[in-house]
Amino acid sequence: MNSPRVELRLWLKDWPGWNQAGPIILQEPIEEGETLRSVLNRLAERVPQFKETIFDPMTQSISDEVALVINDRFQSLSLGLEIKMQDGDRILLFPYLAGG
Amino acid sequence: MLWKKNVLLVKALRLPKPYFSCLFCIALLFIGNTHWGELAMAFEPPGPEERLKAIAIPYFRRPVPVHNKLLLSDRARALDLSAKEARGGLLYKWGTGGSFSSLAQTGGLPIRNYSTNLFPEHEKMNAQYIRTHFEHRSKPCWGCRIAHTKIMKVTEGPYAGFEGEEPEYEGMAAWGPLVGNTDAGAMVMLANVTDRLGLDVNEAGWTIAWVIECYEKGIFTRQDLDGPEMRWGQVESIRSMLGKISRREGIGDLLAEGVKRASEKVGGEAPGMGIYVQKGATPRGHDHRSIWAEMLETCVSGTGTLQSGSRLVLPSVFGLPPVSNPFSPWEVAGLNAKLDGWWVFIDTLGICRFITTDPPLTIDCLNAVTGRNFTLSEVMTIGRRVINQLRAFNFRHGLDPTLEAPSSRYCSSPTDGPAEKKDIRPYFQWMKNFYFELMGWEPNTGKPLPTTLKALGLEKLIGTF
Repeated sequence: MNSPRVELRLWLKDWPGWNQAGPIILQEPIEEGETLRSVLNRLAERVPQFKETIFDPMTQSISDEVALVINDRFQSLSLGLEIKMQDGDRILLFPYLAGG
Repeated sequence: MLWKKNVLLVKALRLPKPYFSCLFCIALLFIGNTHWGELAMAFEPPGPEERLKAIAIPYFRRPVPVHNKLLLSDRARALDLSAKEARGGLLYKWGTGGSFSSLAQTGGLPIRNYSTNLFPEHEKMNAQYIRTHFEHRSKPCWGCRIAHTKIMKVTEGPYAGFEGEEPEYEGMAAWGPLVGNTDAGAMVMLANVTDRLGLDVNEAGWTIAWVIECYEKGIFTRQDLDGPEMRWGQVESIRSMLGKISRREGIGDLLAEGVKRASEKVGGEAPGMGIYVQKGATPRGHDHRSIWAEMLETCVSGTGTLQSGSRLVLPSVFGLPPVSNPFSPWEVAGLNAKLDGWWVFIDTLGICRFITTDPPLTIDCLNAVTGRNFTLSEVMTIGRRVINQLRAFNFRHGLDPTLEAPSSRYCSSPTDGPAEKKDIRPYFQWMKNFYFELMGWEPNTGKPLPTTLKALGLEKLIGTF
């Protein structure tokens, strides 16, 4: 049986190997009942650029330059990062920007 | 005024223009939505027979004096680096269209006149796609090292071979999802046609989208539209209609009035499908139902478009805490009021805001040029002074604050997509009143209070509106 995992899609510069038209797509295994905070902490430990650009483990906060969408729904950070992840959840992270 | 000594006004032939034609600077970049555009229009108010067509500003014969060239060189280099790295380098690498897919996935893309919030085709229309599939070469503004503007040649689809400017995001939004077009080459073509006809891309896009929806719902017939069908994504019909609007020909004479006026003249269900601010203009090319900060400032700003830039200027660069909930009435209104001043100050400098992503460095550059010692607080005051002057001007010329509100479709609740069921309507009036109060204005009308005007050195405006 496959272990539960979430899909992260990152539309961000300075990611290892990022120089492509679309997002970097990661399939990240998760533990039962694991929170979003835990997933982000793990990625920040593994990839330095993630820590610099997206999530600061020191302050335990997502950069205010980053928008978060979970399962095609805009995610307000006022709900915190304690959201419990489930198998198949899709997490999108990208610069919080409007066009011009 | 300096302009009167150095400016040659080119009077138009006696050709009536669309209401929403716009002001281009000599570098052919759109400035109609900035305060330059407003000042230029105030300089020569258009009448029924004479329309301002151009302002030509000759080069100064002497170089602009710089107080400290070495400091300017150092600070400008740092500012350049900051601008290239802002938002993860998105603008520098992909231009303004780099945010196209981000907006599609946060509900910020305007799709089929707000009839849906889903656009699965965004990855085949975004800047990342067109820059990796179409030929392009840089054509930057003079002296700019961000160099995000390109000349582009379409290499696939029915418009292969078409060459023109790469559309900015606004052109991509208008001529892609807003009108139901899913061909990237057609999007490039229509954006260039709009520019060459001298039309404002936002108002043109919203007008065409409204016409399409009206046709789809039977409010307009082919006879009304002088022949062509106007359905979602029918690119040649759209191109033809843009020409009619620019020439005020047939139905184009009605549509040239813009969405609000045209829809009110049609009546019935038509105004309910239009996306506009009640005081006249359309918003930028976004679905502001998921960007409450921009809906609020579009409705209440002195120019009818963004003013505080609260969604584009990070609070952190001003030492402010982040916004945790972009759908919080308290946070949205508070942030807009707190940030008001910076963007308007940048407009007074006549420089691009894409390079001014770091306020302290920007001010350092200004001080290096001028020899002054401006602080962030002082420049924000300058911006606030302009905002209050504009407000006074607008009230003197008939501004009705009850019209600083979205149309019914503009503030509707999305029925699908990432911002489904988010609804600003219960809060909008309160947000407006709160914003006015925080700006030092009368909470119900938004009229600047005498104490506010006095604090800004604008005593002469007290009692004039």
